[in-house]
Amino acid sequence: MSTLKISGVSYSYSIGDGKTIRALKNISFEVEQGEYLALVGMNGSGKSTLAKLLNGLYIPSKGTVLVDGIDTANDDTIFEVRKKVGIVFQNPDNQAVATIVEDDVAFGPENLGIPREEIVERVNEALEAVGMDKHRERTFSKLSGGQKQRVAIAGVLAMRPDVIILDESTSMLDPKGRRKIMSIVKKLNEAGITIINITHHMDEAAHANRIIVLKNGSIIADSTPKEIFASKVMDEAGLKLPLPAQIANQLNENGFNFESAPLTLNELMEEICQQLK
Amino acid sequence: MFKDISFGQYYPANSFVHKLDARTKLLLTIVFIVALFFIPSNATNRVDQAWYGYFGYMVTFAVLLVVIIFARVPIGSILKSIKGVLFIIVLMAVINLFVSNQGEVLWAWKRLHITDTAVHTTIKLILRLVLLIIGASILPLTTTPVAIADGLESLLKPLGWIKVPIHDMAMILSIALRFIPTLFEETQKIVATQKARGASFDTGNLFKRAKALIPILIPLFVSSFRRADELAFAMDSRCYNATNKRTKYRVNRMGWRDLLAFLFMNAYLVVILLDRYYWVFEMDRIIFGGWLGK
Repeated sequence: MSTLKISGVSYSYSIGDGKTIRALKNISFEVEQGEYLALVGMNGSGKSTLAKLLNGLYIPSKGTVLVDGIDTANDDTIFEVRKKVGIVFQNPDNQAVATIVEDDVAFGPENLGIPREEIVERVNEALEAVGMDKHRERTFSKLSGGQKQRVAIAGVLAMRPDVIILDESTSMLDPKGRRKIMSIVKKLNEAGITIINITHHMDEAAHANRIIVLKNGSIIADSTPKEIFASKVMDEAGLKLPLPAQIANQLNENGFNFESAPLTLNELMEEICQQLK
Repeated sequence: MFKDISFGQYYPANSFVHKLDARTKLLLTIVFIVALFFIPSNATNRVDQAWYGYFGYMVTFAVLLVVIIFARVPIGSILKSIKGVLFIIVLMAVINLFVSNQGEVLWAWKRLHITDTAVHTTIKLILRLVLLIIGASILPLTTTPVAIADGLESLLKPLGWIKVPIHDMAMILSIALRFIPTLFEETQKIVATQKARGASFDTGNLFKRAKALIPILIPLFVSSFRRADELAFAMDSRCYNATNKRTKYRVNRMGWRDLLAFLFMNAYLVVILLDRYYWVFEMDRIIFGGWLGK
């Protein structure tokens, strides 16, 4: 069980000539085990930087990131952190090290020095969880983008992490591949794994039970999707609302009265029917 | 542009050869290459024996046939690997045809001449190269690149004692193999993009064509560095180098198949060595002697 505790974190990039860019400014939040969190924000808002801070790929310039009480800045325990917090990156092609699917899934456990019998068990389990067990002997480069990302998720799952971060993992996929990934992620969350989905697809963010909105390296909102989509925060962050919430807003201007934003089209329809009665 | 390259093209099947340990296949490939170069390329200077020296090639051919049957790989994918180096083979054969002064002159024009010895050594050269390529292609066709890298790592383990970073080298090899198809795909995309902007790659002289490659290579390099960067993050995230006691998902255990394969290939090596140093064309005399009537 892992809780993430981010307190007062700032992060600056050096861009040469002694100049730095502050990507994140004094950020604090906590994530409990089992949460489904979406991190949204425009390009350059610091989302991806934040992801890399959460498992110690980057070390904060100021402040601390604690995973289960372990400081990510401590070099001796960094692998403890990375065991607990896995990241699925954006480009499906750039994450796999092995040519054959099952070998790639085994990479993480191999690195941890886990006995072979258990690696086999973990690989089977992880491939089944993402529905790729039938493709285990296939060549990685011959898979579709969505399948590659499923293998990447399996590779992270094989480490048996408490937290999985998706760093815009669906942005290079077609709608079908994206839906598949989202349903897998939902299943994993139901099994108790904390999910942090970094995305700029608002319909994906609607799946989460908590959304953090970033703008210029600062958190400008941290609440449930319903509240966030009903407020003006999204406009402020330069983001588009998901379609049901957009329609609800338009209807509000024309005499309807939505108290919270509907997340799905079904919810929207039901609400419209009720209000028309 | 790169469709003919069959390098690293693993052909999945469940054959005897596929089930062999990668180390066995690596070692036996070396045995095969060594044996191949012990086959004499020049029988003798004597005209009446120009036909001698083919016995070794016949044995090699038979051995390869057996291996291919046991590997259950399609002939097409093997021939594809020859196609890639066909030009080199033809070039070497043509040069070889004119250089020999020995034997009976069959054809002459000005200073060029072809002798019967030259014809035979040329045929043997072609045979040797073709058999070499076929033999060497069995390994990548029946072994996954990962298994090859693992096998190499295991075979080179003694070098680790003198602080050669064997494991890192195996990792580099495995990643290189993994990214070959990805980079080919990328190259094709860049070629298409540059063509759409009016670049031409098949016109002009050699220098112009070489120059036309620059707008392909530079984007390819830039994107490769970006990929390497991202891959490094992904590997770090998955705890690469977390422990010195890294375990292996794939187990390599030698079995009865490996023993049989060793016996078979070493028997082949012995036959080739006997043919060269002990029998000295006795076999050719038996096979071709009667046929030639001498």
